[in-house]
Amino acid sequence: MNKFFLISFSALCLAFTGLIAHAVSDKAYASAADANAKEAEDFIAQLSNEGLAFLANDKLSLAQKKARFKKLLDNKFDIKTIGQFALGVHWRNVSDNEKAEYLDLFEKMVVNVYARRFNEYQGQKFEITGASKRGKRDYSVSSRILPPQGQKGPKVSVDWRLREKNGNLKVIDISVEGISMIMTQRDDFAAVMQKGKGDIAFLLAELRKSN
Amino acid sequence: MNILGVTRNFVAGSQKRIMRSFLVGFSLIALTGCASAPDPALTGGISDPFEGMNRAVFAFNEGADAVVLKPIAEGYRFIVPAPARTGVRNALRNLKSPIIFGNEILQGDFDGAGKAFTRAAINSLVGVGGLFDVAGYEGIEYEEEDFGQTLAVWGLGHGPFMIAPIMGPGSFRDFSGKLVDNVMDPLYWWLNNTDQEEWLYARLGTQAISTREELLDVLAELKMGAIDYYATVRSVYVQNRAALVADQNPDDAFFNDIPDYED
Repeated sequence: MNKFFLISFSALCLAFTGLIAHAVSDKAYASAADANAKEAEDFIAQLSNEGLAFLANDKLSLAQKKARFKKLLDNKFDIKTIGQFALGVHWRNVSDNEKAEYLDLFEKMVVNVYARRFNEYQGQKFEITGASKRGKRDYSVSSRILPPQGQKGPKVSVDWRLREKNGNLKVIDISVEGISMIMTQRDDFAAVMQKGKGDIAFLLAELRKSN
Repeated sequence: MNILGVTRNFVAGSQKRIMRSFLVGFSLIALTGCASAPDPALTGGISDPFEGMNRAVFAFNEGADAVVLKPIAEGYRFIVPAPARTGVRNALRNLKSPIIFGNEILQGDFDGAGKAFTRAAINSLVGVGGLFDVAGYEGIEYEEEDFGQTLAVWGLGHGPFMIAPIMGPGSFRDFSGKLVDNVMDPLYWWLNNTDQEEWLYARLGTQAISTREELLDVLAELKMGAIDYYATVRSVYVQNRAALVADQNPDDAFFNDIPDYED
């Protein structure tokens, strides 16, 4: 129980929806891997701009903000990889119809969880601190969320993990102060699946309840 | 015999019973822990052979929290303005300096030890006894260290996951670490040896309220977002500890193995 634990979750939504993208200092990108890392960095900068566009817009209703957020998820996040990972070993034993319903409910849940926090945005700043290629087609972009101008508060470190698929980058995980969204989700679902004796119907019912 | 005196005082200290029950509990768990072979893959990367008991204690803690600690923390937030709460947090952290310094040394992190020392010096002298985190503003930021992390750096695994009454989530390793931290703390000895144990309790209580206040929103959100709150807390605990242990190389902490699925 400490500061890191605290800020990790209070910041997850802010990280998710993205905040003010700060111009990243011009670095020399020597190799091809670095050039791709720069692309990953730009992708996150773009994502945070789009997130802020609706988050800071007071004229939008909650439903409108939710719709924008869902669009962002659809376009920029690899919900299938995230959902598949979160279901763990059970993915194999599930029919295609159940997979489709699960992914749909899962995305709805993500939207609902983060929608509760939309109003917590108070002008915090977002700053990208670096990017690197990790493994065959994964990238890591590190960033920080800083308190609003003129205010004091903790800096929250947010790491984005991106994966390239068919030439497109998609976010597959967000880690806030070392707490990974995809891992936490998997551990939650694993316990639910265990309680439901491995029957996906039990998890689907729980997801429907929470949506 | 100074050592004898110190030892007697230690044993006669008011924390004696708590310490002893912990030790007994730990030995029991160490014994029984060997017998079962839980699958950490199913329990958030930590073995949880006492899940049934842990869930019961977790439920008890939730209940106690709802009627005691949470309302107090909410009252604290309502009455005490934010800058004052930050001051309290800073002062509590400053009091932890000897433990942090000691653990940094034990971990071989001399850079970290230097930072802990500098922070304590600057914040105690310039920061009015630790109320202001002057060093933090200057870029020497607080780093949480404890003996549980030191044991991890030395290569020790968590052992079984445990939910302690009131204290909350932990592991065999991390709770053992807490005991060592206590003994490592010069303040603990000084207050005990000068019959001022009440300050230890005051500090413990302040720490509990301050920490709970910090966690008010986080835990509420975590609970709302989770289907199985216990499993989620367990997962977050393990990840948070891993991140703290990896403070010297955050890259290691972040990169989990996410398989490349076929489409």
